[in-house]
Amino acid sequence: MDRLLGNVDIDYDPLPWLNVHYTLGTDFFNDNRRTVWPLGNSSVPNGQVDREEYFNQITDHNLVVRASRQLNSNIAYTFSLGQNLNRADLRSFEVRGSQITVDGFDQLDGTLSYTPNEFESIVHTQGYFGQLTTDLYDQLYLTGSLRNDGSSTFGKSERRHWYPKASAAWDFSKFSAIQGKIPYLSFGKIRAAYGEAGVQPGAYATNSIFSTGTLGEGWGPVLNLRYAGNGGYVTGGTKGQNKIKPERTKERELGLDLAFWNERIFLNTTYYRAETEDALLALPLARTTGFFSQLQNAAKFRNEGVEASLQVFPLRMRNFAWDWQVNWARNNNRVIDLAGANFIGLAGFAGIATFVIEGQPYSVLRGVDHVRFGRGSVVGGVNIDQAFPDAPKDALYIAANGFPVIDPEQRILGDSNPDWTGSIRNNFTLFRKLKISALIDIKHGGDMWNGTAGALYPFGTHKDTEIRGSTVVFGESYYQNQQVAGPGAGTAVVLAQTWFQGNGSGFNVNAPFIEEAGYVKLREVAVSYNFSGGLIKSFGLSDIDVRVSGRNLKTWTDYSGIDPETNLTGTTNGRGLEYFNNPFFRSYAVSFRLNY
Amino acid sequence: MQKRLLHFFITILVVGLAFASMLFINACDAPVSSDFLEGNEIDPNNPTAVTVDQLFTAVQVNGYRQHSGHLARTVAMWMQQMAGTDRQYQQYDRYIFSEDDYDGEFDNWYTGGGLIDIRRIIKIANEQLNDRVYAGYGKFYEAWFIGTCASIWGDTPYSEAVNDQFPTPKLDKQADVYAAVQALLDQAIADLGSGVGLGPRTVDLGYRGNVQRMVATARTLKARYYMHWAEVDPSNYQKALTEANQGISAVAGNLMTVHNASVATEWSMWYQFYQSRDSYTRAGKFMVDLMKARNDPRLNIYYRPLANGQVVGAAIGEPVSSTTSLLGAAFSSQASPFPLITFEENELIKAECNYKLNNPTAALDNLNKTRAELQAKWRATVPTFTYPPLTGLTGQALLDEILTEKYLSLFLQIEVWNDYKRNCFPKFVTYQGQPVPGRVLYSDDERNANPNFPAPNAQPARNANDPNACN
Repeated sequence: MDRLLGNVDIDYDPLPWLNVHYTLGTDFFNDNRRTVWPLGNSSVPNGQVDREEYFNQITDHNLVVRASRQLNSNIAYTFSLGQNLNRADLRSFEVRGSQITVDGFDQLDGTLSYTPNEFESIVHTQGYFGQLTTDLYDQLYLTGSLRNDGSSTFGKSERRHWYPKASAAWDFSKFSAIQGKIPYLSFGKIRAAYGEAGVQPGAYATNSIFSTGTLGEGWGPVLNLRYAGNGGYVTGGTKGQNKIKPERTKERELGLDLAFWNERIFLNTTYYRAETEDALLALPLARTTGFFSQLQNAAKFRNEGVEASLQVFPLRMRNFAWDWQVNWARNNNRVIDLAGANFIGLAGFAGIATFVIEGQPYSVLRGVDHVRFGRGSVVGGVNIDQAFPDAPKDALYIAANGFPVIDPEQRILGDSNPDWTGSIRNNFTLFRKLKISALIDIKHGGDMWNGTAGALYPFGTHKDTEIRGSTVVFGESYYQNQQVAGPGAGTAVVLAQTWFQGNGSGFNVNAPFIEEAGYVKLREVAVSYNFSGGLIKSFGLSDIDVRVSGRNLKTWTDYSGIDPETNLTGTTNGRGLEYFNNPFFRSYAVSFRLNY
Repeated sequence: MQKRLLHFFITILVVGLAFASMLFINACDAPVSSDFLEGNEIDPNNPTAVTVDQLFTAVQVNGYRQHSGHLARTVAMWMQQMAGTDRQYQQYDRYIFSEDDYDGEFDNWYTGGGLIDIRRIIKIANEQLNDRVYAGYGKFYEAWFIGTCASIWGDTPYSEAVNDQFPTPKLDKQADVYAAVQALLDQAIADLGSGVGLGPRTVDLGYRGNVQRMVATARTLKARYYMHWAEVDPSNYQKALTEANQGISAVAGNLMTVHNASVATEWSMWYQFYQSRDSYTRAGKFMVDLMKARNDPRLNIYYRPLANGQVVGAAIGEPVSSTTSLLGAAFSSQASPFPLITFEENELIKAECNYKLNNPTAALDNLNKTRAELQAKWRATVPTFTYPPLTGLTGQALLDEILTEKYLSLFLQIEVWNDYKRNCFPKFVTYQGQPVPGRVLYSDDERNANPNFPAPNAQPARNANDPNACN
């Protein structure tokens, strides 16, 4: 992989109070890949060679003119105007060669048939902004700004939009009436802000197109649309949308920053509330119209939360210093409106996936559950809620044979968003040379699907399946945390292989494998020492810093899967799935820094 | 103070002028228009207009996928021709599925490669090319796709489907869909026989442009669709017979999939499925034992004998092991053609209709003609293949033999399920005495965006053309 970054920077002060700053930069990378599935491998036994090349160049032009003036001894201001132009150029080629002819020879010409793919996109964005900041009495800071941003990805009638922003901050501890009056308060600031920001869609969403490629199914087999020497195209599943405009987030923020005891204690708190409207989502269409989805400005979300941090310096002596910091954050999000769709899929797996669902937090888990009461379910032609009116809501339905039954309708199974997250950091400095620090990360709440356990059940290799052959009663000695009802409730049954491979298998039902995935992790412990002295100086160095650190040292969690912090679907918007994910690595590092 | 204020206003003025000059700066490679944001709207990665041949190729490929993929594999398990022996396929074998197990299979009749593109083909053929033959091909595929959809899901959108005026198409009654499909096939036959236009010629993968064969296949399809309603209204037997008498008359006229061993993305669906999942589905015990009892010469063709020369089938839900046979090479090789609409089906429709219309002599003739053609067909694979005509069969024994022959000859095809729903034959023992499913659930993706689609609880257990359960 090659990467090249460069920029030209010009800084010019035509007048003492006027500054012109110009940057022209480019970031270029070229990523060249060879992926080989050798002969005899389990998913493509005939072998396959993929060659891919990605080329990406981003060019950015940024011009800012800033004037800073002192109006009088109490009022100072800065006024800036800026222009930004950006071009993003992405190109990629891929050729997949199928059927390797010579074992160990991994170039494309050793394969028998080729499937090419090519992609390119160019996106231009353009922005102008004006900003005024004022400093009043060294105490009150006011800022206002207005941006106009546009992108080539929006519909023709919606190219450019305005985004305002304003903020105010008051160092009330400097206010004459308060200064010195609150005991121990050495600094206090209250701040408020409002801002709007936009998001642009991917390129070319305005087009209605035909596409080629392959037709497939969820089980692997594909058939090429370009078949038997003929070209083949189908109507693209995404309907074009020529009125795309930006997704807009309006955020309000209120914060309080305090320092006590001669700046030994710092407390920062922020409350925020952000409403996103016209959210860009691929809204599902009725497939019987011939299309799968259409990009629309459709949805509304709300994010609301609190962030707080507390930093304390209990000891600040000559030869020993200790400080610690605690961060805490809590975010609630809710999907307020999905423009008529019940759900939009984010990312997922066969049977279970993450979804955006109206009235729920963004990214919930939806999949297969056992039949439960209170949902209008019909089993064997019988409406079970009517047949068992006394059954508690959400109780597990037990059929006449004493076992639960799979529900054919998909259900919401859990919320992968945490209740709150936090971290604790401790820093120690001894003799101004030895530094020790430790960082703990905490996540509280948040559901995860333990698909690993679900997959091991039918093979009988999971410890939970060791009870095979024993006699249990659902709701009492097995699935103990569930209420049960139904024709077979209370019946003693034998948990045989048919259960673990049938209605208890993770391939057929997902709900029993949803667990809470909170954790406390010892994220990092680092020790560093600064060597100085005559021996070091004789080498021409001023000093040497040596640092030894370990990351991801220990995890404390009730989650029984591999790692509650990983995500099967990677950097997608959906999270909370595990299926043989690799856990985070524990790593140790030693670094030397030579200072001259 | 005034001086400061003056400086303030000068600041604004100077900065504003500098800013105004920026408005005329464009990036080096801006297009002719001075607007930096114009000129990058057209998607360079996908065309916005394509030819009718390209659309027709795609429609045929979709037909291959739909008829030889996951649905067909599921039906083979439910009909106990194969068994589900690993992971999710074990659960399907026990008749358990949810609304997202066949959602793609439902959607594919309508989306890219389905009805939306078939309509484009018909439109281009009529409006631009004045090619009635091509339009006839389009109408045949529309009838075939929607008819198969209605045979599996029952009520399904048709009159409002693929129409910008209807963002949420309603469900049409299954009987109405079939009636529309029969009328459409009549139009297709008229268009194909009109001689106006050339049609797809060699882009027609099945018949390479032999329009007479296409017409015969359309007749066989009409016969098939009349058979689907014969349980409800036995007058359909005569209608089916009339069509079948003009249908596919020899194995050479079979509509089969076409595959190419040299192109990985043109390998048969079964071969590709078996590449990484050959443990999921193995020979079905019922059919294996049935063929052994009859000494059926196709046993070692349909299934791969084990090392000891034996063919062994798996019972329902039995897990995979090295002692159950795989699907035979004739069906699971890279270039194995898969049967879509065949002579065997046509001739055995005639046999069943003739029997039920009190003409057992003709029925026996149809049965023996089928056997003779099958003998000629399989002799290409196994030169010693012998399948002689039968004599002296009458009454129930004759009907059983006809229905058994159809069950065996239509190995792996979805149509076996339709025959089972009509006749409750073969009388195999179902899983734990539960009935074989009469339909699969509607796609949950469709239900998500279309309030006309009911939740699984509100969907019927069987379709309108299948009023009686089998057990």
